[in-house]
Amino acid sequence: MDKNKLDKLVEETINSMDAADPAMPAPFLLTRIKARMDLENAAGAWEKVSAFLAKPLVAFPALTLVLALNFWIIKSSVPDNSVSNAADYSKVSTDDYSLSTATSLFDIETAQR
Amino acid sequence: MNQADLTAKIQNGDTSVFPDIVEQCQQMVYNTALSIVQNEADAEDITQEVFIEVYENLTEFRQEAQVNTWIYRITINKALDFEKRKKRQKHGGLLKRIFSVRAEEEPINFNHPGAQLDNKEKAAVLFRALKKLPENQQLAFTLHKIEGLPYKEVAAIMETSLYAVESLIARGKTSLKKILEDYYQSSE
Repeated sequence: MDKNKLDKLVEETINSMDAADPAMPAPFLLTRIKARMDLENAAGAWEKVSAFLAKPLVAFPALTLVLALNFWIIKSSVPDNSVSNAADYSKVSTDDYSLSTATSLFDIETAQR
Repeated sequence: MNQADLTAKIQNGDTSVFPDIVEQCQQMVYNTALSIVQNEADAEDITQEVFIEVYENLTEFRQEAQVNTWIYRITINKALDFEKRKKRQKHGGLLKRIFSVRAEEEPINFNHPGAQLDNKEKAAVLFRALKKLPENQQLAFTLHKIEGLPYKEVAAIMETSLYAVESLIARGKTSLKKILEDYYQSSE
């Protein structure tokens, strides 16, 4: 390609947008912007909550509280072995010899005489 | 409603002017974003983001600049941020780089919807060449040559001197000529 032709082509390319029409965005831009703002506001509320919970000042005490509650619930649900076994043995021996029943019957009969 | 009325209403804290701002500036915002990102869907997305930012900062607007200049700045920042994000995504990730197809690195031809039919091909070549310019030269050239803004307004938008804008555009044109010459000579 000769120099003049090349220069002309380059110049035409540089000026190719001179007579261009402006492009237009799709219709109802305002409606779409408002819809997007509503969507971002809704998402923003959840982001605020999670950001608040993620603060170390809130997160650590909350975690400690949950762990303490768990520990307390587990501790209170497990029976104390030493006390309950002793109680069980005394109950068994009382039932075997029917001590409580005999005593009460004897008392009743004695009282009737 | 003209620029002065819009500015006055915004300064009085009247956010009801927002629909007027969208109506008046949508074409300007969309075209600027389109010239920078060279993709209609992305430009549309950026346009929405720009107006959301305008709405959120409406009460903080001071008359240090014209409303148009302020909105132009937001648009340019958003569009350039978008481009940087896109480049980072494209170049980021070792695995992605290893498995990516080489052909993807060549920019896709962008056909501006407003370009005249007989100039469509040349306009596509121009936009492709513009991508190869340094960011500030590309910006100055786009605002002056494609958006048709005077040097003074380009200087206000880019927050630089008139002389700097003239120099940027002159250097941009020289670089463009070189890129285009190489392109046409290699495509013979």
